[in-house]
Amino acid sequence: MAGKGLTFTTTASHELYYEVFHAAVDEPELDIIFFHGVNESADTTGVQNLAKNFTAAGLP
Amino acid sequence: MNFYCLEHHGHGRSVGSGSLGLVESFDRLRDDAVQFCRHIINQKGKNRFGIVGHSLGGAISLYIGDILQHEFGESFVGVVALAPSVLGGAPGWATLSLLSGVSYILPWVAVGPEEHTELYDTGSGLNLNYSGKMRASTASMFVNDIYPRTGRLLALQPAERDELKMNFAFIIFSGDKDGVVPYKLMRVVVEGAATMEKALVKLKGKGHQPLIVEGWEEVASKMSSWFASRTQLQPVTSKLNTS
Repeated sequence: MAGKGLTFTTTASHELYYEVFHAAVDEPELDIIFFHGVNESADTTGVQNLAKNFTAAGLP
Repeated sequence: MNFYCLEHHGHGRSVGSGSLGLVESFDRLRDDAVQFCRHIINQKGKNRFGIVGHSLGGAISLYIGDILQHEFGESFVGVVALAPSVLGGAPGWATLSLLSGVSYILPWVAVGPEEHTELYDTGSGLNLNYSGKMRASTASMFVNDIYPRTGRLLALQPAERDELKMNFAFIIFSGDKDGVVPYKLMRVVVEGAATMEKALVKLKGKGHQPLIVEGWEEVASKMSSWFASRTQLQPVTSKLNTS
């Protein structure tokens, strides 16, 4: 279950990639920002497991 | 809640002009992370937010928490750190010096431990997880920067530190079988934090990657539950049942 891929640019003009996994509720009130481990990425089972659990928790 | 995952510079699809697995510095990782939080939160308006980090990401999380607390106040719920690599074993002086020199001259050279991506890669075929031996600059970042920096800071009183005061709510999860970031070192981190809203949870029988082995659901649920308790948010289904 991959998220939706997006990019943002830092003030030093570095373009960084991120993924967003949307909540299973209509109007989410809480955002969780995850930072992965060294040499990993968003394309790991750990990230996707956690994203799945968090977005399915039912919290707004 | 929405869930965002940043790919650090030198990682995944954020490689840019460098090489996969090549990290410039911990300071840049930290600064990128703060800017990413601003990017997400400033476009979301009133939403509250929290940080989760694993290993290197956990170290980044603990280092940026004070900045986020100062900047966002009550909107910032806190940090969940899983096996944060703020402290760790370091080689001897000669090895440290050699690694420092190599990382300065040939930062991309593979010198560190082999990465076993087969343990956590999704099998997508994208090969986004660096699978060689850790590059010199990345290995040096841990043993010549993060670990000694944290050690120096924790030797001071929180008020005397210019970073890592840890005056924000956080919880650390640590496996008692973690050979990379041992549980006993996490106790030192928690004891050295300024905040009173801190906790350390021992994950029995778990190593450094609790989210990819049997029982990961329980670990993940403990993490999301911490945010639920901090925010007083109730699952939408519960709201419906009680209204």
